[in-house]
Amino acid sequence: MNNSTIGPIARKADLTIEHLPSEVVVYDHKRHRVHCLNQSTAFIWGCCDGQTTIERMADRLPEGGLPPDPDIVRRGLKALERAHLLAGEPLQLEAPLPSRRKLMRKLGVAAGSAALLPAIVSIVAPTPAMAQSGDSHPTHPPHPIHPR
Amino acid sequence: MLFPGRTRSGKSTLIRALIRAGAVYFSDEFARIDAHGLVHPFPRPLSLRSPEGTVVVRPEEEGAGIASKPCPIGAVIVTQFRADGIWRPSRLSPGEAALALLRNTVAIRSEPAKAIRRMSMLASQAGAMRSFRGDVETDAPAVLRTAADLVHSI
Repeated sequence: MNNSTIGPIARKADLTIEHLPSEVVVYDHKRHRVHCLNQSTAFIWGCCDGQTTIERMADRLPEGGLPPDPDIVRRGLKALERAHLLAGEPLQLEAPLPSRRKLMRKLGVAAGSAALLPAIVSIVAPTPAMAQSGDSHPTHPPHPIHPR
Repeated sequence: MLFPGRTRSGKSTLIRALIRAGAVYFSDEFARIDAHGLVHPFPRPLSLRSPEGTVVVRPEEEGAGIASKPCPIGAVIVTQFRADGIWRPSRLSPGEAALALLRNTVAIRSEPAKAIRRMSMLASQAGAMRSFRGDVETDAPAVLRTAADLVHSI
């Protein structure tokens, strides 16, 4: 964030962005990584215009079916930062992030609704040889990577 | 049905079981997908690994019908053989399915925009499931049932 911004800014450079009905798939041309943002993360990323504060983003969370809790936004922003999907200066989060489990307990989110919490699944884009041989692939299909 | 997955995950063995069970054969190892999300026939022989080495099997010899024209994809099945695997499929979101496809897309680095667009469209149109599987003779019919359910659900 610089002097003219009051909130985080979504990175748009060197990215290919594809919007699905409730998710966003992003290709990072610099790092050759592909990210899948779930609904809440995609919503938070869409709010990152440099003019929307964390509190204001939280106020808008009910539009995505989530309670208006700033900790949800902070977790989403941290995941976006780890995936290099935010522009500008590093995030300065005032309070430490609660764990996913603590946040679920605090919000009273049922296990079945936990998928609503921010998450980004990321893979390294395979080279042609890797895509054919699969040598770089993990032995299990991808699972969400949650911010710690 | 499309089975994205790495080499040695048991795809060819599963495909042989599926064509023996009546599935129409499109391809082994590669799926050619066009801008409309249609898969095109590319009927290479199946390469099956065994302790004695690689065995090449012509799908016609297994009684398979060979596809002759492009077809939409109804089901994306992400699966891998494990000796203790049990077929317990769980639904993948379109985004998760797109990632599973993209991690096996040969052109992802050379044509990322096209690859992302195509795989995202395909993943939005098809149903997708993920599960380990065990013995192919036991689980192939269940895979077929899962795929049929997916096609009917979309």
